[in-house]
Amino acid sequence: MFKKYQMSFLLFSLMIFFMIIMMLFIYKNMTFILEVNLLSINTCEFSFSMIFDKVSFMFVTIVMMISSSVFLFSCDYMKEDIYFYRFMWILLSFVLSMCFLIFSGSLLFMLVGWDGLGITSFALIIYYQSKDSLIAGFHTMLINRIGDVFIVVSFFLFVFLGHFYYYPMCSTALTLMTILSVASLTKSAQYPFSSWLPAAMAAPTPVSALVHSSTLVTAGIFLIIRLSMVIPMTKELSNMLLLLGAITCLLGGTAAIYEFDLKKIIALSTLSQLGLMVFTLGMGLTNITLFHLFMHALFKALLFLAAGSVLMMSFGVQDMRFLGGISNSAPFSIVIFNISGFCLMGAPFLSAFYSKHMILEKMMFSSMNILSIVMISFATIMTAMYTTRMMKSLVWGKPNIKLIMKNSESIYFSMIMLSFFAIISGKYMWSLENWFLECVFIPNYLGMMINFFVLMGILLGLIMSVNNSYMWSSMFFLAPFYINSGKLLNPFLKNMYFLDYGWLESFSKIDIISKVSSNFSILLFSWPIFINSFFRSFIILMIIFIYVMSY
Amino acid sequence: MVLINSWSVTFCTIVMLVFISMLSFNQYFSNIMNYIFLYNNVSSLLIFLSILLVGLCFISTPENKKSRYMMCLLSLLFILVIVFSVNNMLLFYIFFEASLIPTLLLIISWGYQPERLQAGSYMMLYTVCASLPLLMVLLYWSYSEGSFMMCLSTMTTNYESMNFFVYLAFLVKLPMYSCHLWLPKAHVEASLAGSMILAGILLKLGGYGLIQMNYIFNISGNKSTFLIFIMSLSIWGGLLASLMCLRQVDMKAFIAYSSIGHMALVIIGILNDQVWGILSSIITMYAHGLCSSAMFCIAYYSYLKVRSRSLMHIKGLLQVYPMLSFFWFFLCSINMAVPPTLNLLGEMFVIPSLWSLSILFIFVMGLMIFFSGVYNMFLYTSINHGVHSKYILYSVSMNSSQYMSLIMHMFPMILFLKLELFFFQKKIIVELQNQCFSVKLFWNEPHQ
Amino acid sequence: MSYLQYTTHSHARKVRSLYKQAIRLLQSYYESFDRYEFRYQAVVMRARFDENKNETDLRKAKKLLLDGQKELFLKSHAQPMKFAESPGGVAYQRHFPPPDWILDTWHPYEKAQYPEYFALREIRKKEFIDRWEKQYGKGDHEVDH
Repeated sequence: MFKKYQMSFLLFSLMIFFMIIMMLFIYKNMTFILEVNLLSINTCEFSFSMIFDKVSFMFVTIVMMISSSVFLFSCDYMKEDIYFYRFMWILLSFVLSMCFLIFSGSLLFMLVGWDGLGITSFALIIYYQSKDSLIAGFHTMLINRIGDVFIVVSFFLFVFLGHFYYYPMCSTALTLMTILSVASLTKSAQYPFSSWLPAAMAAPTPVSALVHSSTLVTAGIFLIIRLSMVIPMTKELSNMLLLLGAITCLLGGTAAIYEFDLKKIIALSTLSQLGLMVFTLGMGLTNITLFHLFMHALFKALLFLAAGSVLMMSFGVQDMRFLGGISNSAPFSIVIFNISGFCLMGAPFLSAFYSKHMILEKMMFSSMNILSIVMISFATIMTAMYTTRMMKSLVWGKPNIKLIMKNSESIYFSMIMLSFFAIISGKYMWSLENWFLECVFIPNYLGMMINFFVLMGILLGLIMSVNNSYMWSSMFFLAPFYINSGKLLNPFLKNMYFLDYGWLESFSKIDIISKVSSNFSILLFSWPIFINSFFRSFIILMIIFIYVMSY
Repeated sequence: MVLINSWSVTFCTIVMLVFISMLSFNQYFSNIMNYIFLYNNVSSLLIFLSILLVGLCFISTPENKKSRYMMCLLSLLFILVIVFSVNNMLLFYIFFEASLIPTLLLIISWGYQPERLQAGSYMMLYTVCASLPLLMVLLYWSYSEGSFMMCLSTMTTNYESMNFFVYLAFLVKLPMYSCHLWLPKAHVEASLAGSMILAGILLKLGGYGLIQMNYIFNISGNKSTFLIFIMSLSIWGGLLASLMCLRQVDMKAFIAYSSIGHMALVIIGILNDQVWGILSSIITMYAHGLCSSAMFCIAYYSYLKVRSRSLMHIKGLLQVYPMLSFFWFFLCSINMAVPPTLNLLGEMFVIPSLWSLSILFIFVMGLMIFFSGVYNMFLYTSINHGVHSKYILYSVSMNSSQYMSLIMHMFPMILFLKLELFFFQKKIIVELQNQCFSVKLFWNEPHQ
Repeated sequence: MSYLQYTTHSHARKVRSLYKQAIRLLQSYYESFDRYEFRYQAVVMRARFDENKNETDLRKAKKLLLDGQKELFLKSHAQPMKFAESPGGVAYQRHFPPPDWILDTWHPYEKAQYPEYFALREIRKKEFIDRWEKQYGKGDHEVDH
């Protein structure tokens, strides 16, 4: 009876375990590095190493926190699926590979987590048997594969360094750092690679809750954080991150305004928050990025769980034009929606307030080009705008379909647990670890302006209604480009046939030889009918062997 | 003959032999040479691989217990063990060629389509024609050096003019793209055991030969135009073979083309003759031998469910035979080099040696890694995803011998933790066997 | 859901189909937040169709139909409203039922958990085979799959 809750229970107890260790590590400020040397060639040691420090323990605590509630949620969400346990095991391996990535210290172990995330996310996205999910899965897998190729190909730069850790980068490793950052941009869905993120919504909702909060998309960000913890980035790299982050932030926000699919709106909001994180990395604030990463993970998982409970009511209907009036049929889900929505906007004293406001104020504080500032300000307005728009259409109006709420304790419990953390953790983390603190000196009106952005976004979301734009709902034509890029290969593949069976085959002329020698075909191609002839030849070979040996 | 006729006795012997061959892993730092045998860590790995794969052939086809079949496999094993360990160059050549005969019999006798005759003639003509010039070169070498011993590498004469003939035999055997036409044909027509042995060991024979010839003729790594040409041809050919996979409809041809793509890495790693490259090609040979053989196994098991190898007919296995589909996913992931596997190390370690040639090689290599991901996942999804095909027959999922075969294919991947085994030292220490033992004791201490 | 047209349709049916598609399109545009806007637009659309209801000249009617179809295409929505289970919807072909014979491959221990069902299943299988043999005759040979 309780068997299906076992994984959730396991993850929850691991969370408590890691939380205690996290406290210890923060208190003592320790770092452990465990290293196994697999092979050493000419002083170049190919090793397998793990880092245990406060960052990895904080991250793994957050991952366990989220995944325990998501597993609990999916016990009920996937209840009627006949392949329930298959789903849970793939999901568990997904979480496991994220943990590998968090603790990894060297290239090989990082790739275990990195590629493991790619493979298991592919298996999860194609979990449903439809054609759409297959297309989405390939879309995701191939863009992530580009990142893998970048990492694998950068191997020779590691050889030049003489070691395979990616944390103590000396300043000669800046090329390597750039390549690895580009690889992590694919995983974190930054601008030219961002179209897989909404496509990955073809997966079941618990998967989306994990993928988009703490696991898959944050892997790239986490890699850049690890890389830039020791030495600062080059100016070119940080400029690239600033620009791409700002573009992604704006793109995600704008596309979310034009979107009608409930899950895709949340996915696009993840995209804009990821853009904000990369932007912060470009400013060189690794610790704030990490803080926002944690806060974002908590409230975004909560948002997905709330959306999932709505989808359970509507039997899979995601289109917001069908939904509506949920405040009547499921008031509790709407409460959760509101908490996480306000977190997303950065409403005061919820968890994301502490991180998002800090980022925006640091942006006002630091010296950078006006273009990025304007883009991020617009994106902040848009965040408030699409959140309000989503809430408006969910809460008000009348539903076009029947909504039936199935009462279930596990869903309620998972959402309550996560919302508790989403409310308090900002203040809690801040008071636990002063590494996340930054000081800002800005004029009063700039500080007020950030609040004004949010209010303006809410107002715009209430009054504006936008309808139809192919350009924005296809993410500036990015999604059709990636989906149809396979067609570029088609004529090439068609002609490959002529290369193999046309040119090479006639070049070798075996057919012609056999035709010419057809008179002798009885001699040449009469295969041994009796197996004895084989034995005879074998014996002859043996005789030759013995003869030569004795010689 | 009574003993050999009994399947279980043969099988138990093979299992014993596997363990005996594992003993030689202990001597990974030196070459052992006596009058007949020359023995280094590459050959010990490949001997282990060939004994293991012949044993796995017995497990995978338990319904075929005829003495002819066993005799064929055992004689092939005998030939392979000798090829990998013999010191005499002429004997190496003779047994290199002799390995074709049992393979041919495996294709001709236990294949099931009339096209198998054509496939057999393709295989014979390609490999024999390409290796005849090698015989001439070998005879010339032994004439000028005055010995057949393979452990004597040449120092005096310059053999660069004969590069092409020396390498051709092994390039066709591996095969390099443009000499590869026999391989998909042979794989498609061969029986399961034939495919397993062919992909698992016979291709590696080419790699082993390349390493030996490099050593004997001392002609590698000099970046002559010819070598650069061969290397660029092989890496572009690997890319083309990966692309060619995407248009295959036959599962076995699909796997055959993917192995052509992987063998390109072996060629380029050995011919470039640098530490990372040779390490990578030995790892790739070992890992690909296990992985592709396991993939042929599972292709055969899927064939049994539908009685067709066409990707058009096998759909949606995940709904019907979940265990089979799990192994498909596992093997496709290994074949696309997912991290804690040897295949990944093979692909990764070749990159420093490619860098020493040109950055453009790395570009092509990146494309190849990308497309290997594409075609493996394409293979997995086109077989397992979606609604189940109506052609799938009623049957139980997998039986224990099939599980055993697939798991035992995966098990030797644990050598991942013992990477020193793949490390080939070019500067060999020629010692007599008893002296070797003492040296080994001496050298083993710092490792422990 | 008729997404694959394989029969010839009369003119009237084509017009009705156009009307339905136009209303669905309006729904995609105006349904989002308040229904009144959509109702108003739907009435306007109905009036446009009613205007030419009594058109007797077939050439004119044909032209009107083609114009309507063209307008429908030009105004098509980037994210049309699709029911979840219909083609193009999110839940389309999400689950397929596995074939029935899977149950026969269960292990006896697994079957023992549902004794009544499997007892009945055996009876039904026997009945089916009997009916088959009565209709088509007994098979000549055992097929070993």
